[in-house]
Amino acid sequence: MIQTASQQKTSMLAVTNLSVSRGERLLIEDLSFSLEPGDTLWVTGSNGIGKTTLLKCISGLLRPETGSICWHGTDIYIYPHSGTGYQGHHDGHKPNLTALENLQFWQSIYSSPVPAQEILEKVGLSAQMDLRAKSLSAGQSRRLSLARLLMKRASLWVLDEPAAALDIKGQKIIQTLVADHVANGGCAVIASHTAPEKIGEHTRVLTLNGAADA
Amino acid sequence: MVPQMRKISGIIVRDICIALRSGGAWLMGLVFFAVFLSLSAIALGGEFKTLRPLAPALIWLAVVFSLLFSFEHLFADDADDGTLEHIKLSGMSMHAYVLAKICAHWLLSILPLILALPLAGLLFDIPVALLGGLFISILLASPALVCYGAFSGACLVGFKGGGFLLVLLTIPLVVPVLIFALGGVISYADAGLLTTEFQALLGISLIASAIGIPATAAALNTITE
Repeated sequence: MIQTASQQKTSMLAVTNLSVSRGERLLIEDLSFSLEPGDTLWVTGSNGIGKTTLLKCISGLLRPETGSICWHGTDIYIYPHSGTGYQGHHDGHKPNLTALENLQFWQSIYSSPVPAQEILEKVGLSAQMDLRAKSLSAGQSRRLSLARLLMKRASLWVLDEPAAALDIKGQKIIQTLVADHVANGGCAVIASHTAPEKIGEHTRVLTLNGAADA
Repeated sequence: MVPQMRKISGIIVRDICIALRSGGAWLMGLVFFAVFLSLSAIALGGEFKTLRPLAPALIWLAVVFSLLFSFEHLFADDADDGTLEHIKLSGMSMHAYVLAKICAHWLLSILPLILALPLAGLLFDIPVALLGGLFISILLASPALVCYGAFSGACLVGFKGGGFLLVLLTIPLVVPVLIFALGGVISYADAGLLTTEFQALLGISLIASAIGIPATAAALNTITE
């Protein structure tokens, strides 16, 4: 079948009629949105409203009850893809490995050609690269997670409270990295308690009110 | 194929590195093995005449018990710190991940026991032929033991006090392995490698690997959802 030009154009990420429950509680009901290259979507809302759940669904870690999440037009639960870089609440670092060794491990998993030292420098951890992860502060550990995200070279960044435990310098680094990422044609979904900031040309805000209130 | 192999070797090297830096916790199985055999020898009177016929069974029990308690954290640590989620999102096949974890576990838990066998042989004054039989039986049975333990370990990720349940889950699967292994050790002196028991043991290990790896991968996929 020949597709028309309008049919061929698909969003980078398209969320359609998404509904998600946790146990008996319906957290998200009938949510739809789409993201194009260069977009930044801030997800805000009170604690327990479903921000992390939504982010896990977008990443492909959690299957929604109804609705679909499509990556370049294909359902991520039928055809899983590795184009998502997810930074959740758990850092995924091994405490007895150094920052450099932790990143080199992910370099082997992602088959990334980017040198680990170069990325650690980008996130401001070049002085700590030989420190074991257990010796890093919470903020430094968060930045090491960002380094893993850069190592993956994913087009979609899904960041859950990326600025948590970060000082001003760390927050600036995140903003710069996300701005660079969207400027280079990527897109980002960021869950945060703090006031959303404009990153790139197309910044949007999605406020979750809870399915019961919607 | 080559990138998958690189990923598998990356996980193996990482796990060995973590174990070597964990203050000797990975040697607990070997310590248990040595203590169990030494105390058994003392409890049974310490005479070679009494100990020799019991040695294969005691050594095999020591192997099984020292392994059983090592599976609780095989996947639990990766699940707790988020590594499992990132592995899933990396596009790496969960089967390859399980294979890598199993290989690393074999190197860290079973290889030291195999290397310690000659010392156990000295303790019980076991003839070389019997020691050879023990060596081959452990080598043939080890894939099955690791696959059973890995599957139980994966099913119990997130359970508090899962170690006890893990033992309960794994023991019934280990019983046939134990029976064939001990039968093989006894037959080895007369029939050599081609004993029915060793062939059965090899078959069990192949089936356990063929079923155990996908089953463990499926269990881990369910956990991350």
